[in-house]
Amino acid sequence: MSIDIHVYPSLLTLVPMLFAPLFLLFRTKVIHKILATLTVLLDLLIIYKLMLAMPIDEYTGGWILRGIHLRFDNLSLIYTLLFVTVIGTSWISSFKKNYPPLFYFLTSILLSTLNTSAITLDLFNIYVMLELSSIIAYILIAMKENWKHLWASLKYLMISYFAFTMYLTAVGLIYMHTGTLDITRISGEISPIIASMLIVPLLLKSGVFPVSMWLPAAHSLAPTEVSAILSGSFVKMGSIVIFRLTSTPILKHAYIPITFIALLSALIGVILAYNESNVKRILAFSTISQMGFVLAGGPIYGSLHAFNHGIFKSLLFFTVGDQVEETGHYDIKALKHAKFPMYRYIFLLIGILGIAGVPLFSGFISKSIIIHHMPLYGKIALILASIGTVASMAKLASIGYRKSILKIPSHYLIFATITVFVGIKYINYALSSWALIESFIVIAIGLAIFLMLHPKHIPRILEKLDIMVIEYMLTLISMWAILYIQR
Amino acid sequence: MMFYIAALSLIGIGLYVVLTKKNLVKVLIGISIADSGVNLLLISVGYLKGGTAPILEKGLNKPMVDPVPQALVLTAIVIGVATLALAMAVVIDVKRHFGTVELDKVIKMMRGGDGSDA
Amino acid sequence: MRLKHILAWVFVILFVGVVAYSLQTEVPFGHDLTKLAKYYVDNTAKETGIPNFVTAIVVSYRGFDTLGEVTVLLLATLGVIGILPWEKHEKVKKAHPVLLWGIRIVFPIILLVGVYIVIHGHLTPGGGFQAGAVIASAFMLYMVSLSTHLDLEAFAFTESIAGTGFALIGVAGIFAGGAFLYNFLPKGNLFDLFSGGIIPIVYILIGLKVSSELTEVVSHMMKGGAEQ
Repeated sequence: MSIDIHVYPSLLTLVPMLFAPLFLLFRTKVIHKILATLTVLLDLLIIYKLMLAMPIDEYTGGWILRGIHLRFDNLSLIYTLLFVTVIGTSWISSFKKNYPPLFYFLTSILLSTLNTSAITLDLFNIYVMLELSSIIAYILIAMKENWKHLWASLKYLMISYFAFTMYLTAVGLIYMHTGTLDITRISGEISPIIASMLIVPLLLKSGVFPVSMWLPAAHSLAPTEVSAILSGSFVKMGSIVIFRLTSTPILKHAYIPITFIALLSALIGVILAYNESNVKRILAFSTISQMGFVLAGGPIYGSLHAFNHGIFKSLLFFTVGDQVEETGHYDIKALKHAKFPMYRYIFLLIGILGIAGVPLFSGFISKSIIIHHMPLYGKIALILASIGTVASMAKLASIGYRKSILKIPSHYLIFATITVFVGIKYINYALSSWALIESFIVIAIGLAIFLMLHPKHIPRILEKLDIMVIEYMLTLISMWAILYIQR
Repeated sequence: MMFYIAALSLIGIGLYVVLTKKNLVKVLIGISIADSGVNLLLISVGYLKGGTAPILEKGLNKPMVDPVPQALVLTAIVIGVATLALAMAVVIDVKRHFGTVELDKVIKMMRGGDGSDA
Repeated sequence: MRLKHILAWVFVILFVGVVAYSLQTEVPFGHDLTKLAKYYVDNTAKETGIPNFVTAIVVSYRGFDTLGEVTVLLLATLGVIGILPWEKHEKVKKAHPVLLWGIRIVFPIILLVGVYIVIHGHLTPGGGFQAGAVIASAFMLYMVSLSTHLDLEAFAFTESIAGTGFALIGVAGIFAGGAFLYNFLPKGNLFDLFSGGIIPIVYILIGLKVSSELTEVVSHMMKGGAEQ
């Protein structure tokens, strides 16, 4: 551990935050493009220098052992790279459209918050950063002044406010019991109810099934770039905090109920995705499912999948979102009439191949590794979920393409390249004949299901606000029960 | 001890309101009450028997209570107020659109609109 | 509907009961200070130069969190202003003379108390956030009792200047001492008004920011909500 005088982790927070007001100060697009490029480049530079000196510990303000503990390590590296890529590419895409300066202001601060969540080790700092990011998300979702957006935003706002009040209680009680707010220095034992009050709000942020029914409405209604940012980076915040917490001896055993919930989420997410006819909601439910994979994978393998998922899910949201914006239709049947232009369809396919776990693409690697490291019941659940993913994505692919001029939009290209590059470069990590066979079987069964099984319309009762509160409480109780039994 | 009871009662009341009320404004107020309860709870866990405020004074000889929860609660109150303000703004806008803030009526109106989500 | 209420009561009582039980066993009322708290109590005055330990923690030791908090409030204000539309409703209620005179007398007193709280934030209980709420309440008194809103440009201006000032002081700390909000001004004597380095300055800026933001939020709600 060393403290490099020139570059230290809190710069990751400060740099985007200091650039943010500049977007409001100068209102011309050219300057915005310059500012955006500068922010991304500086962020990458800081990540690079931090990576060279990894792992770095910092106490903010220079107050060793009595300030806020930040650390940049392997986990931070993966996540900060993901965050800067998703937000940077979304900026590229947004410059082609007419976004108000407020968008850049908000997303810069969001980048700052995301970075902080990847480096912070302080329980209360987590609370502040998660709340800050939630407020940014509320505003981004509700930016269109449409009542549907307002309602989706309000639901998230209320359930999140409610949940994080409980998180705050847990933090306070943990502080008094263990004498510290630093995750690396917590010791002793905390009671199951407090542990659940700490973890379930983080599950809500992570987009896993019982507590994340705010996600489909929010991610599907938002404009394209916002959806990509939300699904690609925002939901990952909860996952990194959970990974940090479950690495501590005091919360290690919480890993088991989290895995149960993750597996449940992986399965139910794809079931709900398959029965949807709104293309963006299919993608949103798929996020719920994939975040189940991420949490089940644990800090080492799950974070890889978080990175891969962030990339190909953003690609999917870009292609699908652009098509929705161009045609004005959300429904699969209606989109089948319009069809994707050829160039966009190719990129859509790359995203689909990524998420479906086809060899030579990034999803194959992270999924195989995660499945490989699960116990038998986990393997079965995740394989079933992968089959469901293939089936749901086949629905998207079935929209079809039409001949068009060949365009290579740079924002699609960035994500597609990463998906393919990671898939090919790291293939020897996942290459075993078993993994290959399994992925082909999954794809075959998935396609078969798509061709044979008719989607049913599922009523959206799970997304009502009062039902969401009950879902939250049930999750809280189950987590408490499992932790109590474990004692 | 009284503080614990008061704080937990506030949290309990807030929880009850959130679970049972259908009026958006009432639910928000319920969350806000629970928030106040949590803040009170955090400060009271820092209490020291016979302690005084964590501010140095000339000639002070009483022990001091824990300053950390007080600092945390300062921040938490501000964040709670900010979130509440934002939520209230959205609720005001909902009232403008739908004319009501009753959850059931709003859902009915949205279902009537285009059958999209509740 | 009755069943739901009963179930809710049962759940709430059980939940609160479980939390209370773990409270009693783990964090009994009036127990000893934690190690971290003892450290703060013993060393804050020396290290930061101010007697108010809570202020020291908020501005100095945990200044990072305060940065996030200030941003939260700023974004909430922007959000409220962005979501609610601008409607020009000038319905000043005809105010009773007693009310008007009451406001005229009370308003400056509230302001004075608020300013006192913020300027002495490092010496006595209080500080930027607390005083911000007090000062804002003076303006709110005016707005709510007369059912009008205050549309002064001064608020937005104050808020931006204060926010920028806060950020600049923090950045200056980076250049002066290598960390955000590093205390680079001289610490002075304990209990002096001018002591504690940058802490009183930061807190005054925060006070200005918070009071203008809260006033703006309520003013905007008074404007946007009037639809009769």
